[in-house]
Amino acid sequence: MHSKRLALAAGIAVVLVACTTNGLPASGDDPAGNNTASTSTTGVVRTAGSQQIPVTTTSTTTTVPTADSVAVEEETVTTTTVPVQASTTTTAPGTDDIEEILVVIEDLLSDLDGQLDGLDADLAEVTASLNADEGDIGQ
Amino acid sequence: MKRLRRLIAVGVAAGMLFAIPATANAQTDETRDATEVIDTTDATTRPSIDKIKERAAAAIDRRLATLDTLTERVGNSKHMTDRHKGTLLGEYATASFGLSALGRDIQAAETLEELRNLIPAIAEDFRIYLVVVPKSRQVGASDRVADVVERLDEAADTVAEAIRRGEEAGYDMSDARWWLVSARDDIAEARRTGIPVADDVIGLQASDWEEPASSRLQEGRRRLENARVDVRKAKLSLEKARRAIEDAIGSD
Repeated sequence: MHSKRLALAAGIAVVLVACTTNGLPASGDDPAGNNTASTSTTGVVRTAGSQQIPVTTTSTTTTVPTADSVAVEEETVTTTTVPVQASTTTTAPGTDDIEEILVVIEDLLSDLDGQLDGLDADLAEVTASLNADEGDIGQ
Repeated sequence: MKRLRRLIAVGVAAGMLFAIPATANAQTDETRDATEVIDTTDATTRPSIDKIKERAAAAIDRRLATLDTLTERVGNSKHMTDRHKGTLLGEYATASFGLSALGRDIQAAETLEELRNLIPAIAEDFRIYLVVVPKSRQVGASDRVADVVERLDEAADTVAEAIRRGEEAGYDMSDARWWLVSARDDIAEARRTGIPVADDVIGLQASDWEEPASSRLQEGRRRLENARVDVRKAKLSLEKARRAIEDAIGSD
């Protein structure tokens, strides 16, 4: 009975430590009956393509109470979770973003058509102006 | 009799051969045109001073109308730089003022001798059609080249970004990169040949006719034509680069 109290106290202490690190814990017992405490933080990582991908980092501390001693085994596992939607750009840019850029390029080139037609008209006027004269005086 | 008719026909034909070039030359030689108003008529058909003044007024009005048109076009241009606009609009205003003053002097003239001195100035002191209009057209075209080059630069930068991302994703972008380099070369050539034309010709004045104005305007036209070819080639290369990227990533 004494050992159980000691183990419980140790578990509470670990949870308190976890609370002071990041955010509120989501604590409870895992299927094996171990006491667990988790903290989550969110942030962004920058990829080589200058994209910022939101990620969630979760630290889970598991306290394993032993039945016949005061010894407490602790294991802290830190995992980083990337949202499924953003995961396509976490490793290397896929084709989606490139296709979006291709649409932008197409728009830019389409806009140029009007400019080039205008330049053709300008050049026609340039040529015509060089064939003009001042001979209307006296006509 | 037949021989006499043949001689008359030959004579008339020969007379026409001499007369046609003389007419053409008269239209291209503004100075002679101006003096012919007075000199090419003999005493019996010489136009009255009022008739000469009327023709001079029409010539001035035509130039003033041209200057008004230029003022409106340059003022509304979306491509011309503010500096070029300011320079040209200032010149148009000065020319309009000068032509109007000349018109008043002509109307006040009382002798043919006075008119002989004043009328040539309509063309020679302003060169609206030989200098002002051509240089205005070239400044406008040159500034449009600058605008097109800027847009091409933007498109080329965007193509480069697509290529970079494709390469990061592991796609072979060598064809697209080749076309991009080709486009960059053409853009650079258009920038080098077309954009400086505006500053080369905008300072030309009436007194610069016939040289150096004529040569510089011809050179400006040639460079602008080259720039037009270069920007079209650059656009075509960017389109090919875009298609090469599509092919590389297997896009439709």
